[in-house]
Amino acid sequence: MNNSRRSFIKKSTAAVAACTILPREVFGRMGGSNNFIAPSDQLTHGIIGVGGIGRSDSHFYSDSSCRLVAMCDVDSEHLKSAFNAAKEQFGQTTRTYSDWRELVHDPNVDVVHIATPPHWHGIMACEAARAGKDIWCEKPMTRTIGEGKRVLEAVKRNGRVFRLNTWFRFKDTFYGLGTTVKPLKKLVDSGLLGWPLTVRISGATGFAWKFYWVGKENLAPQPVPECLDYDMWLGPAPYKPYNVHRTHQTFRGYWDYDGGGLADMGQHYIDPVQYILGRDDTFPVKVEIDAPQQHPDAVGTWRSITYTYDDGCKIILEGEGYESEGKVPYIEGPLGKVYKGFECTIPNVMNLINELPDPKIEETDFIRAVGSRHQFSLDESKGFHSSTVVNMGVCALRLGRNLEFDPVRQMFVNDDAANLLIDQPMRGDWANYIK
Amino acid sequence: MRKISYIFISLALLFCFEGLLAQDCTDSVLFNAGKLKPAGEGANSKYEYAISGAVNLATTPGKEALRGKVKSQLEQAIEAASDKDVRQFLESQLYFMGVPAEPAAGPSEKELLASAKKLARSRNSNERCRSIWLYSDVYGKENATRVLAAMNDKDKAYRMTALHSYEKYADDQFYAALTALFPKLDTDAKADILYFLGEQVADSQIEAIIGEFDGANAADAMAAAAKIGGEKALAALVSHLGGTNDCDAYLALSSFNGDVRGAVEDALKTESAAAKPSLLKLAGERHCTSSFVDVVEALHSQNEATALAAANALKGVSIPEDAVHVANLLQSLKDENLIAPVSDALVGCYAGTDGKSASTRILSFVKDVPESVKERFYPVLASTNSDLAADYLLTAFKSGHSDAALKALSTIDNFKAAPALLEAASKDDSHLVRYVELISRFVKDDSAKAGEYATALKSAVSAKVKSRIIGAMTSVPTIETVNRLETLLDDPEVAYNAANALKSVVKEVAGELPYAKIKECFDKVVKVYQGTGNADDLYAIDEMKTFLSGLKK
Repeated sequence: MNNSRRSFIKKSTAAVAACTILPREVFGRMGGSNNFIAPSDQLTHGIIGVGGIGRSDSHFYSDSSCRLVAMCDVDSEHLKSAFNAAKEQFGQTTRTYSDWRELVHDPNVDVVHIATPPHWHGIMACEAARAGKDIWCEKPMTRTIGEGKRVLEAVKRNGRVFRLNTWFRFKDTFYGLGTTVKPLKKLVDSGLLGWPLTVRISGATGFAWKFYWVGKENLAPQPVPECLDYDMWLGPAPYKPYNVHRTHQTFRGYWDYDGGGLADMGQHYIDPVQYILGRDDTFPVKVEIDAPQQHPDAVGTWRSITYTYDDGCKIILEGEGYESEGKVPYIEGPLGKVYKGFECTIPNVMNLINELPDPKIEETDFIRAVGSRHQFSLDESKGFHSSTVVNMGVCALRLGRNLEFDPVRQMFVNDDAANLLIDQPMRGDWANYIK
Repeated sequence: MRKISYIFISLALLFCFEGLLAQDCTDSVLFNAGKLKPAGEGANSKYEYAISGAVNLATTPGKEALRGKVKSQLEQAIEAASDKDVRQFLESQLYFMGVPAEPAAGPSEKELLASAKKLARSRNSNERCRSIWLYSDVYGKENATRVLAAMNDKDKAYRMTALHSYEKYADDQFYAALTALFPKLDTDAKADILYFLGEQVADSQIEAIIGEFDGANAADAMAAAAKIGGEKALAALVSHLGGTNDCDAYLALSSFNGDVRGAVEDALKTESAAAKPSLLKLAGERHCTSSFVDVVEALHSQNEATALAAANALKGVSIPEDAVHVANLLQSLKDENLIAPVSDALVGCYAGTDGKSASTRILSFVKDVPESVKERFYPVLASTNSDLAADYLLTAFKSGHSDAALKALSTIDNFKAAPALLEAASKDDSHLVRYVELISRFVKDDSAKAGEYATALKSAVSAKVKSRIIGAMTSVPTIETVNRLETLLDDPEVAYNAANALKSVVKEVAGELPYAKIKECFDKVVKVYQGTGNADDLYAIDEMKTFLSGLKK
């Protein structure tokens, strides 16, 4: 397949020239407050990847705020099933694509939902930004640190609105911790716990690392199902013979596409911690691992991963089966500790933090952010920072050693091999989409 | 002496052996590569581990001496490899022997400007946005004029991008130039500037921002003022409570960049009636305990919204010493809508007191309270969780106050409430949920617990309640529980939950069950899972197979 970007855009623009509509901004749709939304002014979205998470409520919806108009999948069975579901659930007939680039360049799509495995996220997000689309992207934001940098740059420079599909920093009970993040943020900001702080993300504090997302070694090649375009499924990933375990529900077990439970749950768990600690604009300076040697293809398990910031704050991840015993604090500082259920060693803590201002109000409605062009609460910058924390851990695991990171240069210190994991080779011409 | 020699020789051998191992790790890359077979034909895994281990070692900082050898062996192995997948794997390892490329030199200023000019003429919003960034790359702080001009553009994305591009250069002079544009701009453009000023905490422009509090951009201006903070912003926001933009002013004050309590406490004494509801809300939220008297006064307001706001705020402004006063309020309330929040405030007053003392005090007050209002104190009694309170409420349940008493008994953390809940479940099985919670908390003996869950299950009608009970049953891993869970697999409404529970419990009691029984249970669970096709369930099936394989048949 000729993946040349230049030739693709030339072909696709020729194909849609006949039905190109005027840019929305000509209608001044974004301006003024008006409760009535004319159909031509309604936002629309398309989903890339409708086999798994793409069918969840975050992506698979269609309402007066944003209509579902297009979908894409490399598996024709998934595409057919999703198309039928959209018709049945929303009464909506959607355009279907097997090549995501056609969806991204579809002038009828305002917002692109990226719900593919992570090895595609960076490429798709960059191209979508360049095509003038706003973006709703699954986590982890990108599979590598380098791709994250490119997405940050592309979204910012093209004036797009980006949101990552995790939300615990602004809503919902934070897993087994039994509290929302807001009181934790207020408590940390109050200084009552002292500084520096250590945060422990572990089964002991209410977080599961899904160690069942491990890969299998010695995979035997299998015939590629007729419904699957395997070449397109792999995209930028190295070619390896098809085996069902590499794809669809279980791709998380392979470094080429994801990073196991760490990459699956890492941003859900770590992004709110970056927020709580006020670290949205920086990175840890060290990552230390305690893990068995990892297979070069199949993701394995680990015992612990510890991130340290330059001021001594730490995030400690404890693997399943290796949790600290007894009553373990979620946040620990020199002056106090917080446990599950917001149990705290500081007396009268809720009354104390109630007296403090709430955290700065941020935009947590994506549709409204698209309209106002304000940064969404979990935008590309915050997403990049927390996904980099996750990816630092992935790099350390793959190399089997502790690593140091320069948060200003955004590179590993004195470790060429680790820096070679920041931007990794891409198959074919896919690298052209992320330059 | 012989023992010492033996130890010495052993240690020496150990060092030599470890040295050989370390040496072999990087020396054997070619050997291990030669063992690799086409995918699926052999056990490549152990050789892949060995090779990647050698690469990881050779690329470790400080081990540069090993690098040349490993690289050379990989290159030879790649040359010799006839299978493409083997070659691909080796090349992926050779990749780590490289050196990261230096970033390429960027385009010249001339090239950047040419691109910027071209993109600026585009009809595409994102391309025009790129142009402003390119101009920023070239002109930096000198790009202010272009950014200011962008405020007249119709494209919101372009305006916001222009402002973002100037974030790091913006100073008070720039902020003043922005607000100077206000008279000529529409509301949409002003909204963008106000947002920018707030994000930048541009306190030099607070007067100009406050000047927008009464116009079409009031909400944007108030949000910006809240982010900036300071006395002027605080005073202006408080003075706008109760006005047309009361809601926006309240929101701004909730997250105000500074302490609002003093201003709220003062305002409660002086501000207009219209402002009272929002002020009261803030007083409660910010724990303005000095405003207790003002809040109580507001509770008696003729204005319903004010009275309700005061009732809701009471908990936040009350301290334990206010208990009797709040109890008197609860007793004397005429408006039914205020009972629940004032009752909640009284619960708060006793929150730090031990249950027995609290219930004694409450009951001594309640005994003199007219019969018609005694029910108002049931939730407070329940909150003490004491035996005294439970006995009182059970008596009430059996007499003419059954509904109110049941409601309170549904919240008390005391096992004495259990029989009442079980009795009530015969009419509404949702009471079983609380019944089961009490069992879980207070019944220690596993057999007794399992029996209680079984009793609850017999009374359960709805799938939701049955599922909750099933969840609780997993905490009692007994043979009895296994048998009961098996019977639930045929109920399609709860089969999945029962299957999950059965899997967990069987693993816990596997030591007490014959192999055949364990397998039988797992087979039943697999049958239920196969209907779902969920990835997590496929892993659960793998997990059960692994568990079985570890057992002696």
